Amino acid sequence: MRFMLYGLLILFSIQATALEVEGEFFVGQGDAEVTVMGTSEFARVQPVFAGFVGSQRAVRVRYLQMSSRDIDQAVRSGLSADIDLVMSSAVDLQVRLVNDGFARPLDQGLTRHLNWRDELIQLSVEPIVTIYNKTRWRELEHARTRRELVSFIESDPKKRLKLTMYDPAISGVGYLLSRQDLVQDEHFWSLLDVFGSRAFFPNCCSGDMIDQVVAGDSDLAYNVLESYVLPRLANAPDLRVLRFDDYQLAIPRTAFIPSQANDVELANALVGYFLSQDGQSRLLPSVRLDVLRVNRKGGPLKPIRMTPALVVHLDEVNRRRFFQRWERAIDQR
Amino acid sequence: MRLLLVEDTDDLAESLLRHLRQTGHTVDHAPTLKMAEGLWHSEKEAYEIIILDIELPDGEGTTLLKRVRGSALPVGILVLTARSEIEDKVYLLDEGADDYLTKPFALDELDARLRAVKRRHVVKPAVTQTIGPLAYDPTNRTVWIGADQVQLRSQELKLFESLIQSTGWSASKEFLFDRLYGLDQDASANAIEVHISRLRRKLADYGLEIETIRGYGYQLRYRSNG
Amino acid sequence: MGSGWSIRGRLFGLWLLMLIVVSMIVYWSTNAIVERSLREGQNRNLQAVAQVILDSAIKVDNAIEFELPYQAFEVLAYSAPERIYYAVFLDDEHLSGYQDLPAADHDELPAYERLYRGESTRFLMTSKPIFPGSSERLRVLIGQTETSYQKQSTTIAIWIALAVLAAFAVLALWAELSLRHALKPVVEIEHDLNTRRADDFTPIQREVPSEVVRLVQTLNRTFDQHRGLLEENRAFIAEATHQIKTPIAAILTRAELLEREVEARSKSAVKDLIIRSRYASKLATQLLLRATITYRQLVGTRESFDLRALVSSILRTIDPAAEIKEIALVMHPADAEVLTIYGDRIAIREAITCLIDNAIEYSPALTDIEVVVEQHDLTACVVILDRGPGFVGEREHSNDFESTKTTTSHVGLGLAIVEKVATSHGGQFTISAREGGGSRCDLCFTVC
Repeated sequence: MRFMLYGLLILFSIQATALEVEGEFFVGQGDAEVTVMGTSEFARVQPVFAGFVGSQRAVRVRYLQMSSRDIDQAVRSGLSADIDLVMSSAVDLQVRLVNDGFARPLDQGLTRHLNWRDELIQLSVEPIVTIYNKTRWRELEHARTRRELVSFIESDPKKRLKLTMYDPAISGVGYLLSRQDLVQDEHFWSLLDVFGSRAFFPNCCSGDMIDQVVAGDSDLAYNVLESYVLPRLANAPDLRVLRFDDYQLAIPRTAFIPSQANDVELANALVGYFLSQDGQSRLLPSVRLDVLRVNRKGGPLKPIRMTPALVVHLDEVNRRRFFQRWERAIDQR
Repeated sequence: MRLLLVEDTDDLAESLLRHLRQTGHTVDHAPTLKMAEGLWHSEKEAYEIIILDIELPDGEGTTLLKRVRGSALPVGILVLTARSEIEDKVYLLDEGADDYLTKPFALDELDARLRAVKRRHVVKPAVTQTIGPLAYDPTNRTVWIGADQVQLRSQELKLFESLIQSTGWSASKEFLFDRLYGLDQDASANAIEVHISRLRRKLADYGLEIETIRGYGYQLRYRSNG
Repeated sequence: MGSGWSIRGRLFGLWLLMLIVVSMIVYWSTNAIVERSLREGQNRNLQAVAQVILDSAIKVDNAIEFELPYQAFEVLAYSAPERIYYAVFLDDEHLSGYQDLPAADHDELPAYERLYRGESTRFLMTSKPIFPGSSERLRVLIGQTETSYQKQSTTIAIWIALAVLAAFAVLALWAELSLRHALKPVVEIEHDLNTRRADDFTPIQREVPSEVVRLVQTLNRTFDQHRGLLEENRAFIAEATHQIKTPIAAILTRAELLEREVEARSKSAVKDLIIRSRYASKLATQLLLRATITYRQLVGTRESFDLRALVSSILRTIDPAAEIKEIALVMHPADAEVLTIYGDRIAIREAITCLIDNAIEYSPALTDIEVVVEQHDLTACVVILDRGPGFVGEREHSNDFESTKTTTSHVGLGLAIVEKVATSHGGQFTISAREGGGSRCDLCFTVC
């Protein structure tokens, strides 16, 4: 059943003949226009664009907010003929696009920042955390590692804990995080098994999951984006953040300039601005690249590395094997 | 004058001796350096001038030259040399010779140089005839300005003597011509004028003038405020 | 004889040639070797990953399942920042991965290169029977772009070539220094010779290297010959002078005496004899003078001296001769500053004496000969003015004195000598007609 849904989604993307845009936004007025495709919410990137426009003369930014899959499709099918910059949090899809030759080399000056092959560059980072509602399960604060969490959940034989996490079948981010958890620790399947045997509503987005935990509909949400959590803490006194001691994942938001970009100079300038002190200061503090250099609470921060090994996650046979196992895990409910 | 001739070439020596004796000098002859040194040693104070050939068979004449000068006697030395111009003859003067003659030379030149050498070693006498700032010694026939001699050629000297020995320091042209040339019929008519003008030039530095008296001759004057 | 080439130049040229050739050889060979080595390394890496995939293959429900090793791919990715492609086949059936990877030619396996997606890519194919004994083969094809490998081999090759160049530069410097050191004795000999006086032909005494010994010996032999020749020359002139002049002096003196003693009717005959003897004597003197001047041009020493003082000295010496003819020698200007010139004092003295002698001989009695020593800018001139017969014919002035007869009244040979002295000092000698009759001789030198 999941497979059919999944298959339909793929069919839809293939059938698309025009860009599937969730929103089109403009920043600044100028004759020179730089077009950006991205997965970020516009509100998050708008300050950076505004700052960029202010630092240039007569430039306008055209931002197309799209899903990561739509972006991948658009680039592959050549619909991105006049796109100057492609930004996405789906680092696996980005890496595959660059591996398959859809990107062009960046300016020399930019390559000192973290990048792959001078073509794919990291603009910001999304650390991943786990959240829980402390009112019902105060003991959760003692679960320092994932294994301890597993033990804790197993120690609740009546299965009263309500757990939630990304549905890898629906969410590309969720799929990527699950695969990376497995890379970090083979025993991750035990966590999934344990999750699967409990009340468990795999979800699509961080926002929804946070809402659920705040409202008390879920007790714990595993693998959510920290940058969405932090703004909610002020108004949710029961919300707690859990940063595991064994390791913490982080997703890099990456960008590349398509090989057929129109205004290469402006695209490079925009990337440069993103990476500059001014540009970074306009991002939320929790997603700035500084985060990678600063000590934080919890275990070692392991951002997903930009290597073509990520292509493995996207392999069909490989996906099939993952989802076969995934089915078994959630079928245990 | 009493002369010593040191010359090894026989026929040249013979001719020179003849000429010198005919002129009225007493001459001793030494054909070798050794003989010359012997003569000098025994008759030191006798010789007024030594005529010395530099190239002698038994040595260089300069040996004798140095010896004579070392004695500090007022002897005139006239060197005869056939030496080519490879070396500077001036060194002979540095060694003490008064003058030198290069062979071959005219006898008249020899006489002139002998006279000049003699004059060089003459001492100013106490008694002289005063002509303006100049003094004249009739015995040696020399003219002095202070302690130095005024160099006059023989013809000029004769003119000068004639004028200062004449009354009023004036003389006629004929008288002067006679004094200079005597019976020589080949002398030029304007010779006197030429010599007078040359004498005039030389005396001008000392305030002495020679005035031409038309139709007569010349008069020597001294302008004391000149 | 100029320098067409230099030892250093040739050596430099050869070295440069060697340098270029060796650098190119080193660069190409290093490039080839490193490229081959890197390629083989790359092959091994790709082989390893392909092998891991093959090893992981299992059969599940009649389907083939295999593991794509994430960490193995990461290792491959870290070994070089290149793109990675893969494809898995069961015989010809495409199971997974990129669909359009280029196939190999027959004899190329297992590794081959293709241009794929715009970049030069290295592919490696490995296969094994799905089970031992099975006819079906599982094939894995791995591809990796090569840009960084190529860049690496080029960079290494360049560095090595640069190292070779640097080594060569050091060697060249060393060669230059050693050459300079080796040639030092030659340079010192040259310096020695340059600082010698013109007449110094003493042999070279210094220690010389064996290669140059023969050259120096030949040089010393030449010096000996030179010295000998010059000495002979000098001795001849001195000897000839003495041998010629003394007999002539004897003849003349005897003739003069004879003239005074004979009767009037013989006097003119004797006078004639005297004149001819004098002429012979003068010619002899001038020939010897010419030889002397030539000799002095080779070895004569030059010095700075006062030209005015020299002329005064000459006039004092010559005065008695002028007196005999009742000729006055007048020097202008009477009182003047020192006028210094640089040259052979003795030769110049003889030249001026010769001119004044001539002037006395050809001037009529009772005339004046004027000698002017003057300076114009960088030229110092001795000008001799006489009232002699001047020029015969219509010539205004003459610069040509080579023949013994000229159109002037002065004897040609003597004038040739004077001109020789003038030109050997970089100066000039001219004779011209004088206003009112007579000649004017200008002998000019450069003031130092």
